[in-house]
Amino acid sequence: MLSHLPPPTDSFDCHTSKSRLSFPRTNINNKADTLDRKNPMAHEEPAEGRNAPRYTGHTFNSCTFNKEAHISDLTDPPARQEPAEGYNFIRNVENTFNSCRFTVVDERKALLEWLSPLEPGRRHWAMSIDRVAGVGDWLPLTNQFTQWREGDDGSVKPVLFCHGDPGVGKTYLRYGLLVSLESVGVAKL
Amino acid sequence: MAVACVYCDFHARNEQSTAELLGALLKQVVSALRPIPDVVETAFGESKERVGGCRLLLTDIHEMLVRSLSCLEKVFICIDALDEFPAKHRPELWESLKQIVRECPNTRLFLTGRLHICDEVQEYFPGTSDMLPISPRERDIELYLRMRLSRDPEPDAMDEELEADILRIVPEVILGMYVLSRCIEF
Repeated sequence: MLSHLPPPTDSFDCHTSKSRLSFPRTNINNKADTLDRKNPMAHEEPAEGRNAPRYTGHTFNSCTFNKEAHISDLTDPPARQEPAEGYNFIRNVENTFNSCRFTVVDERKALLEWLSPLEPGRRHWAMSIDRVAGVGDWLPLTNQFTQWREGDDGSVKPVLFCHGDPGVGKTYLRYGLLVSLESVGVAKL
Repeated sequence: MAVACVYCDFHARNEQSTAELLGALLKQVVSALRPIPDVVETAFGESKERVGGCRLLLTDIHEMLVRSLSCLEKVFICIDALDEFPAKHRPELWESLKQIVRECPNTRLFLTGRLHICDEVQEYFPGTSDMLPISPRERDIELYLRMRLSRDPEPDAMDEELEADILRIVPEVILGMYVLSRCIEF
């Protein structure tokens, strides 16, 4: 694993598939640096139990540790055989990777929220309680539906329009459709 | 494969727009993608640099949606109750959906609405749309009645004969009403 790490220099870059974070090493506010350098293993056993956060508020130039990152940090397997020299650097790199991973998760959430504030969900599942099992099961069995669903791209009519009077159960059929397609939610507009 | 679904609510018609509808679909499609497509990531990065943020434009959403859909093998998009989407915005929505279907052959649209929307569907998707009339099915009505009978708050007042009558007469009346209403409509 260690052979994949970048060489210890004054600054290093951390690449993820979609983000590139760069910050000088001296800016890392990591209390791991202050741990006993003669005994780098000492910090592996938190004095107040594994759930006690050992350090908080790691702030890098462009990313911040969050709670989950702490937990991840503390639940790392304890077996480490690195020599004392360079240990802090390795620790820092690992923290950086953790940070990037969780920052990407937060970024993803923020990005999805930016795309649309509408959350798929509630009504779809409310309907699953109301709906009587078996009602509308005929829809996925119709020729039109199976062709629409299974047909090859380009050779099938891509639009299926279900029409009916108010109250005939179009929306309940849509629910059945989503179940048959293993969908998870519906956004209300 | 991904499934994205929105339903239109008549009560919210004043706030509904094509951008909002496609945005909701885009969010669901992007949720199914790892990693997030570059075009979306880049646009998000740019938006963060602008002071005060910015509202996404329909053209941006459309572009991102087409590019995101293309990342998937098959996508089912479901838009429920199209008749409740504001009529004044529907042409814009149809145009967008038409382009999406043309540019992304892996995408299928499942639409529902009242009968009068049929003409619009056929106008925008000539030869590429199929119509499926929805009407009450006798078996569906029977399943529903049996469920209701099983929750009878006064089961002592029920006997086999009454139950058989209910299961015979109610579907007849409902289906009869339906046929009558179709006759009046035409």
